[in-house]
Parts: sequence; C-alpha cells; structure tokens
Amino acid sequence: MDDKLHAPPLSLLDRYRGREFQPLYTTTVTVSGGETGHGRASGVARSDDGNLVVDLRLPTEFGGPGNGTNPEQLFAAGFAACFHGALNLLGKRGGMAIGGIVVEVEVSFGRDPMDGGYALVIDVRVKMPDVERRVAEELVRNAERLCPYAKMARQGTVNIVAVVD
Amino acid sequence: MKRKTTLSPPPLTLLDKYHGHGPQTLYSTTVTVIGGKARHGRASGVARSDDGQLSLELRLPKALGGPGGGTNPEQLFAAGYAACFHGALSLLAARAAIPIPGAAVDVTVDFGRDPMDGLFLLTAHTRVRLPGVERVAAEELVRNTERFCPYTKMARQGIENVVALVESGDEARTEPNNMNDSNNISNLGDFRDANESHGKDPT
Repeated sequence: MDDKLHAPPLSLLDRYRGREFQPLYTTTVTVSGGETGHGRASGVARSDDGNLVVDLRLPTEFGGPGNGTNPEQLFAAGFAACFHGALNLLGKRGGMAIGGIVVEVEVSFGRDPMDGGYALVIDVRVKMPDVERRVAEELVRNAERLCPYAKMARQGTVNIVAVVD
Repeated sequence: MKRKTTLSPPPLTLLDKYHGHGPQTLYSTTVTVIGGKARHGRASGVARSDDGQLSLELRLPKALGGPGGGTNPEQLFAAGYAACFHGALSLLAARAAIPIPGAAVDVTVDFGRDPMDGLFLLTAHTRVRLPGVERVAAEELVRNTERFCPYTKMARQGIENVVALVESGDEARTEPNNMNDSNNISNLGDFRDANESHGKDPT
C-alpha cells in the first residue's frame, strides 16, 4: 500500500499557459457547531471524502478544555504541508539531497490594531540540514513563489461567501 | 448520547473592539510537517501540532495522482476557515439574540493553476446554512462575519507572513548531488519568466 506513495511529477513545475483558472483538485469541508452551537468551541469538521474528521475545541488560552484542534492548527498544518511539498519538488528538480526537510508553521491569532478586530500572523521556519545555506535560501525563495498558501498570505485570494439557505 | 458539560462558547466580550496600538497575540500554535516515505509533505507527510492535539497523515488525493486515504492542505485550510467562520457567526448571532440552531458552514477550496503567473492559486467558496433564520437577518449576520473572521480577512487582503530558513547544511559539507548546466539551481526561477509567447495555449 505504501508503494503507492510517491511525490507528484516534476511537470507540476512547468509554467501554465492557459487563460483561465484551471482547478486541479476541489474539496469541501463542513463545520457544524456541536453542543454549544459554536464551531470553535465544540464543532466538528468533516471533509466530503471522509478523510478529515476532527473535533474542534477552544485551547486553554481561550478558556477551553483544549482537547481538540482549532482553526489555527489546521491552517498551519495545511500551509506547512504545501510548503514542504513545493520545497521537495524544487529541490528534486535542482538535484539536491532533500531528505531531511522539516517545515514548521506558527500561526498566531490576535487583535489587529488597524481595525480593532482580529488578525492572523504566520511564521514559517524551514530546516534543510542537508542543503548548503546559499542553495537552501534560493530554494525557500522559490517555494514562496510556488506555494499558493504563501501567495494567499501575501496578497489574498479568490474568496466568495454566500448564504445558501 | 452523553453530553459533556465542560464545553461553553467563548464570551461575547470577544466582540468588543480592540483599542491597543500594537498587535496583541491571544493564541499561538506551531505545527511541524515532515516528508515521510516519499519525502514530500503532500504525498506522504505527517503534520503534528506542538500540543499533540493535531496529528495527521497527508496523502495526495486521487485527483492529483495519489492514493487518497489521508488529508491534504486544501482540506485543512477549508476546515480551519469554516471553523473560525462558524464561531464568529455564532458569537454575532448570540449578541443579536438570533437563535441559529443547525447553522453549518461549508468551505470549498480549489487548488489549481493561475493564469496570471502560470503557477498555482487557491480559491475559497464559503456557503453558510442558517435554517430557520429570516433571509435579511441571515445575510446581515454573514456580512458582519466576513468582516470579523480573520481567515476571510486573509483571503481578502493577505496577512503578515514571515518565512525564514532556520537550519541548513554548512558550506563545506554539502554539494548538490547532481548539478549540471541544464538542471541547476539558477534555473529554478524559470517559472518566473513571463515574457514568453502566449500564442499556444493548451487545449
């Protein structure tokens, strides 16, 4: 079963020349509120294919019991996984030894002095113990351009919100 | 079904406007991803949070040529976005004394190719279900939630994002293992070139 696990092809690094957005993969996750009716406090997140099912809880910093995950962890995990994959592909194309790559993403949820509301701050930390510093820095710079999570963090993305019933 | 009694929503004071002059962190968490068997985070990675509450295996979905059977960045992002949006919606509804039993938030994330730079792009579509809530009130709640939820804000305008290389090999120890003229690091930027012919779009 593990034999099926392989990185995607390097052709993903080819530049796309179409004129429209071309979706490659689409997924939907549904969150309901659970016992308290509040998604962060007692919600459940479930993906359409059933491969992601997690209980959501407020962390102790927000007065919750902490024994579940939360939006910041989920987002950090997604960002880190995508960035890791981008580094792997770029490193492979460059012929690097890319065995020990580790990506840590720290997401902070806090108050925004600009609008008095809330904001997220993201710190991405990359470890590439087997790659020379100069080369590693160039890989990280290129991964920042390639990874759409980094792009979204930089400039936002397409985002549509609708009430459906 | 047994109910736990320890769970409660956060206080409505979270809706108070913040008047500080600098950013104030309320909660910070770190998730680490390693590559696993294929050494590729999306294909065979493991994501683990510092508190151990999130520990997941990542797999490429079938649409991207993988076996499925694990989660992926798009699901994780959709889940985080939907959970925060749901929480914000609940708080705003509570303050407005509008009951929203059965409220559900669906977030659909597309991962795809970006025609602007030839690289990759995400799109997020959020659909809110508020059964039993009058349409006008429901729309106003959702409009306010869009202003309040920081995931929506990020999707609209980006966020503060710092990327740093914190560990690498030393100069002497490492050499890229098969550098050559046609496939070397200086060519990694070739997807940056925008001044190529645009006359042959694939069909």
